[in-house]
Amino acid sequence: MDDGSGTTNGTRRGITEPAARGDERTALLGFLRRQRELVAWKVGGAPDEVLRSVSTPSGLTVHGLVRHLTNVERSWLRQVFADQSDLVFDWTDDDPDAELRVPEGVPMADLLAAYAVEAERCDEVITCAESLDDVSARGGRSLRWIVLHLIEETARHLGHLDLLREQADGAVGEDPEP
Amino acid sequence: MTLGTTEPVHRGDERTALLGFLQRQRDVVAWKVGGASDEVLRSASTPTGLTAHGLVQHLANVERWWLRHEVAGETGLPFEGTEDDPRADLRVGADVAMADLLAGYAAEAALCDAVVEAQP
Repeated sequence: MDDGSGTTNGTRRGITEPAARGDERTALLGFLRRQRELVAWKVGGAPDEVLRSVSTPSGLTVHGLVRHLTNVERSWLRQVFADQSDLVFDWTDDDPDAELRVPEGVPMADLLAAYAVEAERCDEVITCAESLDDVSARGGRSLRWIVLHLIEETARHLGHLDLLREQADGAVGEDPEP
Repeated sequence: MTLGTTEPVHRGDERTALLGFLQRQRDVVAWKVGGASDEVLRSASTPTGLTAHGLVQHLANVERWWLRHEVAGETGLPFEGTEDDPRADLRVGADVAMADLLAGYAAEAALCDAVVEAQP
């Protein structure tokens, strides 16, 4: 199995290991995938009610953060960059944070499945573009900027999930143990 | 510029964009821990012991390691972590002020940027 020590992205303990000496698009895709997979790993193996037992004072929840990340990828890559039509979002103009509040009946498994589907569609946008210099259909940003921003955004929320999970059941760690 | 934090160039080349996003994270770290007294910041930690002071010192050590030690091959660099106690950089003495940690982080960032800029 590719361990990521060369010029292509590999896998280590079930998580993408970004290519140690990859080209720019390979490296960015590798780091974005790694963050998404660590999100799924970080919230995995706990019942919904345990994950729902914690939140920050301002209302961030584990379920809300996963749905937020899904919406954010859809927005930046499929709407802002690719200008796809008929996209559905969990936020509205009147309630721009609505995606962060997930109804009680929605299990994490469904949120993670939707996140994975969205990730695949977003990867397609990244891999099909001619260049990372390509400029978004809206807002005048390069694809490079958008992918770097998604890595930044996902990594920051992953840190929130680290703390929420520790608070929920004491589980900690940066990535899966050997 | 928003609130004094770097806005990475919207249509920049690879190195400019990477340096912009890295600087943005550093700026946001300094902003996030700013405007609070040391004792208030010290009053919070996670069950495993992460603290605001420890995280800032950790980030300064991590940059020094990856860019000056690993990329540039500089020798004799000081690190808070040791082989016996690799997490020592996360523990900061009770008398160390956040202002000093942020100054150390900013100085390290400038040295690390120079390494990135010096690469062909």
